[in-house]
Amino acid sequence: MALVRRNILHDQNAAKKYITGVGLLKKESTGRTTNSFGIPGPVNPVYTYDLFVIWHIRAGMFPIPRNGDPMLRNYAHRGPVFLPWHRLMLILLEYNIQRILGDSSFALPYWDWSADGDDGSPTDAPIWTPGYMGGQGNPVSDGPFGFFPNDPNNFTVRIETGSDGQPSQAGNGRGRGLVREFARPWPEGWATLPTSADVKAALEFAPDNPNPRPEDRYDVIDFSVNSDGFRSRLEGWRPATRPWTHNQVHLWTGGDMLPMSSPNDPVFFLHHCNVDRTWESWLQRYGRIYTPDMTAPDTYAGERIGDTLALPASYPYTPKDMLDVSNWCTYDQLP
Amino acid sequence: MTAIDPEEVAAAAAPDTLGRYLAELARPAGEQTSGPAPSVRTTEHQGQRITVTTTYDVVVDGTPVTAQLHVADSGMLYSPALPYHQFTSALDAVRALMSTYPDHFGGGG
Ligand SMILES: [Cu+2]
Repeated sequence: MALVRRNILHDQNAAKKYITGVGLLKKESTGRTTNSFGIPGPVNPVYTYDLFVIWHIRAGMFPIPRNGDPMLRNYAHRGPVFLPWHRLMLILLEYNIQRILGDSSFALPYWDWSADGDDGSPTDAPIWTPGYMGGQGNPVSDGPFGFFPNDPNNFTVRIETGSDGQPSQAGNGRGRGLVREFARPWPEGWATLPTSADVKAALEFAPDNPNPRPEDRYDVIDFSVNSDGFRSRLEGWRPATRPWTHNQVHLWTGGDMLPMSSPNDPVFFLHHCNVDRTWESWLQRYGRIYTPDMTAPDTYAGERIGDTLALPASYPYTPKDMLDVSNWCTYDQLP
Repeated sequence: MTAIDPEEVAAAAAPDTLGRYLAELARPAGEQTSGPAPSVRTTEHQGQRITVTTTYDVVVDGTPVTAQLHVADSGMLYSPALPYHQFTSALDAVRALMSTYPDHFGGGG
C-alpha cells in the first residue's frame, strides 16, 4: 500500500510522528565524525539527521558539467534535476523516520505555504505554533525545535555553511539553536509567501514557441537558472525580476533556511514535500515526462533522464526512476 | 514502468550507506578554493571571440572579505552562500551576505 502524504495541518498524527522522528534522527549517532566528512574544526560525532544537511551541501557544490560552475547548475539545484533529486531526498528521509519509529505507515506531511500566502503571510500561522514547528527567533525558543538554556535535549544546529558556501561547524563545534527570521525585506529575505495563484501560474506555464515539444513545458536549453519552464518557475528563478515559489519560501522563512545547509530547519522537508506535490500535479496533468534525454551532450551529464542522481553508484537512481513513485507515495490532494 | 523497490530504498537510506558515500565525497580535497574566483563569460560575435572576466573585490569597513560573487551570462549575480537568491546589484548581494553571516563580517550589526 502506497503511503498518503497529507497536509500537516489536517493530520495531527503525522505531525507528531514527524517531530518525534526528527528528534530521534538528531540523536542517532552514525559512528562517523565531522573529520570523516572533511568538515574543519574539532572532531565531533555526526548524527543521522545531519547527514541530510551534509548531503544537500555537497550536492549543491557539484557543478554540472563537472568542470563547470555550481552557480549555473549543480547536482541538486538550478536545473531539471532539482525536482527528481529532492524527491529522492524526501523518500530517504521518510524511510529513515519510518525506521527509527518502527512504523512503516509514516508518510511525510507537507506544508501548503500557498494557503498562508493567500492569507497575507501571517508570521503566527498555525504551522508556526508550538504544536507544529514553533515560531521564529534567533534562536527559535518555542516548540519542538526551540533552544532552551541548559536543556541537554535542545534541538541543536551542528553543521552550517560559511560565507564561502563550504561546510563548517556551528558555534565553533559546540552547536547552536535554530534561527528563523520571517518576512525580512529584500535583499535579506522576502516579505510574502507564494500564493495559490503563483502555484497555478507555474503549473500552467506554456512555452512561447510556435512548435513546442511536450517536454518543453518542463525545461529547455540551457537547463539552468536562465532557462524558462515549469521547473525554473517552481524552483523560483523565473521571471528573474524577484524570487518566486520555492526560493521565495526559503527567503521568507529566513535564518537557517537561507544557506545550502537549509535542511537544518525541519520545516525544509515539509516545504519540499509541497514542492514535490506541485510537481506531482504537473506530472499528472502533462504526462510523466522529463528533459533533457540521453541524446543531450555531456555539458548536461548529471542532469539527463538516465544519469545517476548524486547517490552511491550501487543504488543508481535516475530522474526517470523518480517520474512515477506512485507505488511508494501519493498525495491526499493536488494543487 | 518503473517502480520504487522498498528494499532498495532501505539500502540506499541506511545511515551507513549515506555516510560512506558522503565520506568518500569529502576525500578529493585540494578542490577547495579560497578567496574570490573570477567569473569568466565568453561568447562569439560577428565571428570574433569575446571573453569578459569579472572579479569582485569586496571591502567592509576597510577589511577585504572573501565573499564569493559570481556573475552569470545573463548579468545576474549569485553567491554560493545564498543559494536561493539572485541579485541585479552587487551591493544588495553584500548587504544580504552581511545580514546572513554577521560573524564573518566582523559583526557590526
Ligand atoms: Cu535543495
